[in-house]
Amino acid sequence: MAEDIIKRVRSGITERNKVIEELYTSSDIDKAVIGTLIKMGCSKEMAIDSKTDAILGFIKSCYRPDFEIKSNVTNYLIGTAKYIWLNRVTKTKNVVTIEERLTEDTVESIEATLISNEKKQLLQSIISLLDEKCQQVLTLWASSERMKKIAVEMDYKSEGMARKKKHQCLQRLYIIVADHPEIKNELRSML
Amino acid sequence: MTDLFEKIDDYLKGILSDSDRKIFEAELSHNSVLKQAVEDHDVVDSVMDFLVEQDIRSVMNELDKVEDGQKEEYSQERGLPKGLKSYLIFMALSLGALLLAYLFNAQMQKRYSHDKILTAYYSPLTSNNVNRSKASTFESKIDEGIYYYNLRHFDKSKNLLLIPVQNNTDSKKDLKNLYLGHIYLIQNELDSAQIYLTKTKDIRKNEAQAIIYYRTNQIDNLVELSVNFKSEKIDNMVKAAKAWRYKFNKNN
Repeated sequence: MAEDIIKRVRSGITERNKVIEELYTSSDIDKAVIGTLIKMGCSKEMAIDSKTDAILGFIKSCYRPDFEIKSNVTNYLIGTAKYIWLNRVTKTKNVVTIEERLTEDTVESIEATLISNEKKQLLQSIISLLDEKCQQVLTLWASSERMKKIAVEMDYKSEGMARKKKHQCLQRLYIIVADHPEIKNELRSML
Repeated sequence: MTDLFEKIDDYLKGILSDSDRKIFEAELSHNSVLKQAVEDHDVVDSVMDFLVEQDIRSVMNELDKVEDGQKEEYSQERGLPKGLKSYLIFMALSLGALLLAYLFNAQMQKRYSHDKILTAYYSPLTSNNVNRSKASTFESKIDEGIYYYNLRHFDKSKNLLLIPVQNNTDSKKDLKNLYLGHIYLIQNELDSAQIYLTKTKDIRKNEAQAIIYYRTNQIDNLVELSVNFKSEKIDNMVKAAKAWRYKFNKNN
């Protein structure tokens, strides 16, 4: 079941978006994830945010070739959302003790999966230097979309044209990164 | 065409076959562009990761909008039509305000009718107070808009910042135009971004202006801006634009 979902995410944007919709709008997942966090003392708003980030983290993790989950997706999301919430609480208030955190079923490298706000701003400043078409092509490509589909989506004449555009955009991105050492260094300090 | 990103990725992960690795390393030893790309791969990888995250979030935002729309329809089906509801609320508030104004006026007349000079002095002050309170309402909208901008809730921020604009108020004129310019730039509405950036005198507009020039290939304007305004970021953009133009000309 979980394996199927991971495969669907990897198969392309259309299926991936269906998975997001299924997870994001599922009342069972809402009850399980948000309900668990609220029982632990989390506010409803924060529980919803943590659920959203847990789904986001899950979808992004699916793109990692070595990613697999042993339990089902709901349990994985509960664990991840708890981890995200506890992390935020400890960062802001020091309410939860380290022992409590350690007893949580930790979800591996979820912190690395989600991008921090500071980092987002720096990344945004790089992306804003790419034109919109390039942003779209690279997003589609990074989401494992096939070249044929990218060509259709972007209205390119052929698969080869899509591949060429992707190559040009990537080169452009490398140039932008190379030409912004200050952003590069700041980002590296956060990696 | 070899896939630059994947090739570098495989090389750094150590999963290239022996023969491919040797070819890649041979190329690396004399190709400075490739060498730079290998060095910068971690940052490019983060950018790609961010693009995916943004895309997933946009799907979720769309789902939120659909859900909000459904909730609204549901409440309209169950309750009074939305228009009628707003009308009733508006009427109730207006009546309340009229009543308060009447009571306030009666009180003032009672207190100051004996002294015309005092009344004459008081009126403009009252009216100034009203204007000031209106201005402070708009200012608070601008502050709130900036707050949401910092939280990266750009639509919310834009809606708040547009309120004083639509009311033609001069409150924090430069600031609101600056932020609106930035929001439109982030949302890739370059024409609107340009309109608001032109209206502000805040020097923080220069980098945003440079991005617009960069993205619309107005390299000469970008260069001119870099001459008039010293900024490392703009200088880097000039370099990137020139490098891109050089590369483009070379490839074609």
